[in-house]
Amino acid sequence: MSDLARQQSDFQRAILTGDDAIWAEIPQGTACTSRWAAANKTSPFERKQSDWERCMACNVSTRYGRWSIQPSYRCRSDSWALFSAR
Amino acid sequence: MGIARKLLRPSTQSPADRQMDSAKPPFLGFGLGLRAQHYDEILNGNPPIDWFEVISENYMIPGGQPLRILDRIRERYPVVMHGVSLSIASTAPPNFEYLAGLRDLARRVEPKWISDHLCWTGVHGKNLHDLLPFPYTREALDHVVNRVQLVQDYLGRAIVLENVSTYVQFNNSEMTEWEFLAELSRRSGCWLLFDVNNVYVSAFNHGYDPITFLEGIPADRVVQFHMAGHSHMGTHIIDTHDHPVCEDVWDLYAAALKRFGWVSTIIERDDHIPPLDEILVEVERTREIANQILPPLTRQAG
Repeated sequence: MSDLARQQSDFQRAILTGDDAIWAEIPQGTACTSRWAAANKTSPFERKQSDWERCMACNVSTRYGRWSIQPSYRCRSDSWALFSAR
Repeated sequence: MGIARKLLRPSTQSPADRQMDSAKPPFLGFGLGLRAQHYDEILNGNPPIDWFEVISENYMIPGGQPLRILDRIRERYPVVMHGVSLSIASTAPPNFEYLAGLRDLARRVEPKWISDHLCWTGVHGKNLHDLLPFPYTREALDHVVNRVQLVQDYLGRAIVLENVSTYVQFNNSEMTEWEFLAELSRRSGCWLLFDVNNVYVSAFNHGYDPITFLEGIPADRVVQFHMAGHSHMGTHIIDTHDHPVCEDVWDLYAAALKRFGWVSTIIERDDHIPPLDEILVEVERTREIANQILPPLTRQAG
């Protein structure tokens, strides 16, 4: 598995499971950081989790409004179920 | 050898060698992202818009009212297809079912070009429906160049890729985003969609100067601008497309015009969508600023 493939797999697993431990492992190899997050003592995961949850709850909030035109498209997302189950 | 295996081989040919349509897309003027809320006003009013960008996935369905409306609109206006699910940077196997749908739609719509985003949207068979970032490494560059060439071979034309708004950066990046985009365009032959708002958003979130980004993009590779609004959260900005374009982004648009010249431009709005007349004010502003800043198009083209 390439570094890029491993990074994408970890990134996605962290998003879908909400497991902080996965995010904690990522910095060892492919760290996620951002200046604004560090400056505001907010981990990238906490902020992204909030965004993704709004999306996956199908509120069609903000940036995901483009899918509101074809509701069946956004409902293909099985990650919504994962978020709901947590 | 199956088409997937054949297309997965890294190509050593240039776009021209592969008999692909790699000609630079034409300047279309000043347009708008087509949204269902405006269908009636467009069809009944023939508003003064130069062209429309449509979200590819909203029409990648066999038949139905949206496709019929799109057919009518494209009889009157030039149309460009803009996708959100190509997942060009994904390490998952290429989705040929998606590509076939995209190619079928392109045959019907005959878009001036086909664009998507420089991002990935999922692996392991999942689509997270977000435009996800990745590290700008040499490995990633090789991967994306090969993937772009595969898609271009499949579609028979050069594609256009857009910079996305990002909220995280990666410690193992080996180059900047603009360096990645420039090299990707040079090696693959793809054109670039310069999203002015996305540059502003990412620059704020990561603390760099958007002008540095702008100056790092090769001027002759940019064929489209996106203009949109965002949500400023104080500590960071989210690319929401639910507000009018802010003054800082208008200023960056003016700077982009000075660097890139006449570039086809659209206004994007995806939530809190106002009546068409309100958005037309912004479309006209893109035109007015270009007319103020740039020499007449015919003189430049000549």
